Amino acid sequence: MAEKDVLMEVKNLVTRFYTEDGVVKALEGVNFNLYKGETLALVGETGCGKSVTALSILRLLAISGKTLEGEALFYDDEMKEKLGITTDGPVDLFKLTKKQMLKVRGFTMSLITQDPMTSLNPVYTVGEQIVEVIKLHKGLSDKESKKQALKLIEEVELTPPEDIFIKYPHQLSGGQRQRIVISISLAAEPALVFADEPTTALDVTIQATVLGLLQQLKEEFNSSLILITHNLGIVAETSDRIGVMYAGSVVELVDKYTLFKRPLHPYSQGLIASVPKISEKKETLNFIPGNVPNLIHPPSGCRFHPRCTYATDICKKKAPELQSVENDDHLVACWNVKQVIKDLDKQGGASG
Amino acid sequence: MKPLLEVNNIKKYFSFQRGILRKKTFYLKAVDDISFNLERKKTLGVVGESGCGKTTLGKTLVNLHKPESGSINLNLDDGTSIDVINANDDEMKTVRRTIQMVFQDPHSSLNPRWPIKNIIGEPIDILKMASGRREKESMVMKLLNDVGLKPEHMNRYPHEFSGGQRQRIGMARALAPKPDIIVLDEPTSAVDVSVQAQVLNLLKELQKSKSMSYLFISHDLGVVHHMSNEIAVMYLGQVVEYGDTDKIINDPLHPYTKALLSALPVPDPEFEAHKKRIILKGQLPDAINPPKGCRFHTRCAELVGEKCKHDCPALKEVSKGHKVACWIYEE
Repeated sequence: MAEKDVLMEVKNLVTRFYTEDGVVKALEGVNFNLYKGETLALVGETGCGKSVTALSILRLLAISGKTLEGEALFYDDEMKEKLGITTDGPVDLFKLTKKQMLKVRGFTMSLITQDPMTSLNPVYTVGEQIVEVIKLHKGLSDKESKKQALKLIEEVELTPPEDIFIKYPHQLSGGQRQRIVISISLAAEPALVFADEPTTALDVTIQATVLGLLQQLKEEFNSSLILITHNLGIVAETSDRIGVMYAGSVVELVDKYTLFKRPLHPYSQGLIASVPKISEKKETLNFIPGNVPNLIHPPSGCRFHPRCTYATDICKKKAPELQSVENDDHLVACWNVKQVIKDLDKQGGASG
Repeated sequence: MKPLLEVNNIKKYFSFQRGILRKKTFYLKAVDDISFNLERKKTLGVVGESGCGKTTLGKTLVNLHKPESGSINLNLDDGTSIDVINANDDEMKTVRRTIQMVFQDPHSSLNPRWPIKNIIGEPIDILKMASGRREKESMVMKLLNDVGLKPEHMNRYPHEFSGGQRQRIGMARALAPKPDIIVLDEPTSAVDVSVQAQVLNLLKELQKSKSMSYLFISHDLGVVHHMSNEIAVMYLGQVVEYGDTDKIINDPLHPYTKALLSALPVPDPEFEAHKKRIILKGQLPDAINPPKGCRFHTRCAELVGEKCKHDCPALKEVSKGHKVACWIYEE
């Protein structure tokens, strides 16, 4: 792989939620980097910390949540200009003031949420909501902003734009609303867009068009995309690289072809084998025994060890770090990865 | 031998009124003229997007909705045949015993104030299957064992279980009256991927060991493909294509089935790279006021002509075990 420009480096993110039942250890050292212009997918099951990762970076956690440690280093000159930062090197998002963060959100980073009904304001027309972002971040006049907003509505393939502009969110269907949310999130041409399960509330045929649109616009605006989903199909279709998350950390990070062909973390292997595919028919599905752990009392060491067939003593004591295996671009966090590779090679061509 | 369940031309309309001064009655045709047979020990998968009427169809089969017209016949192994819609009280008991349902949401379909043994034991009480408390408890324990839970879970309450475990409890409750047919309404849509595989495997095992038939309702073609012998594809209350699973998946005929398959993201990047995409135009039409003619014509990429806009094609057999409702194949 050729050298690529890094947009963001996330290092050792630790986030906790303080609840009545106890402290939820939601993120336990999340590490990944994001290149300019790529789509990175974060996949995992409920409660693995995919959404919390996005909210932690955006610094939008609920009051009960707190990011204790970690860095999110952002390499973007436009952002530095906007914030008036003159020092060299990247900006750590966690070191910015609240006021600076307000400028960053929407301008440099934006978020597309799962449910378009709750992320749009029901008492404003969708046009007003798009104009708001344009005026705030681009400082254009009312007339110019409206012109831009109409153009954006057209870009997300809603026609005629003048009619859509004056509609309220409840007058639109789920798919149309999600298109509006996409146009709002792209209004200021951000360097990074988080899409948190953008199509979970939509039907398959609508989902396909929304995903296609998101991909197309991302390329047009030259943004990077972090796609958060539990659907391995969507990941295989839309992403460039994939980070597999389990119980609060990234356990494997690699390009999508390698992940599906040669997954090396036992959890990734189990996850991929457990999904029924229409491209092959099996009598019984492989499955991962047990359940997703409770993060108030997570397992010691590697959090996957109680469900893992490769688990050894060290797995119970110490959490493994994300390290490159086989080549520089394939990162796996597993103590027994050598054994996993040995087993894979033993199976030989059988697994493909 | 006659098929276990014969469903002929059932229709289920929901009526409601709109308007303030001049009230007008509207009908939502949730299930509009659907026929199929369910064979013994087989699984029929029903797929379609939200609002296509899959759940209404399932609920009609277990008589939770009374259809406007049509017939549902249950042909039991002893040769008797029951008309499910017009069954009397005695017959209804047999129907309830024979056809059971597992609901979509395991969080709302279990009574939160009851321990598991009461939830699973209720059908045993109603159908007077046990002679005493002892026998009932041993039956409950056996059912828990069948679905992969432990006997000591019996005294716990639903909130103490995870989503996957609750779906197992729903399954045990459905199994209690020893049914021949189970209607499974999106049984895995509320559980995680790794747990979904456990539930699907369990369903397959149980079907084999207890020789049951399934009506498997889901929006996920991948899951339906894995589970079913036959598939019915629904669009706005009608079945547009019906046939053997392999035929539907490998050789789809109806333009809607083709679009649905092409829109389904497959967890296999190399397969994805070669896939041809059919993007459907527009939105799902309003079910209260569906398009005239073929209901799919507003979004169809392969329109034949004016015919599609005026006349609704009937479901016709194009090859053995493969039916499709489309003018393209009407010659």
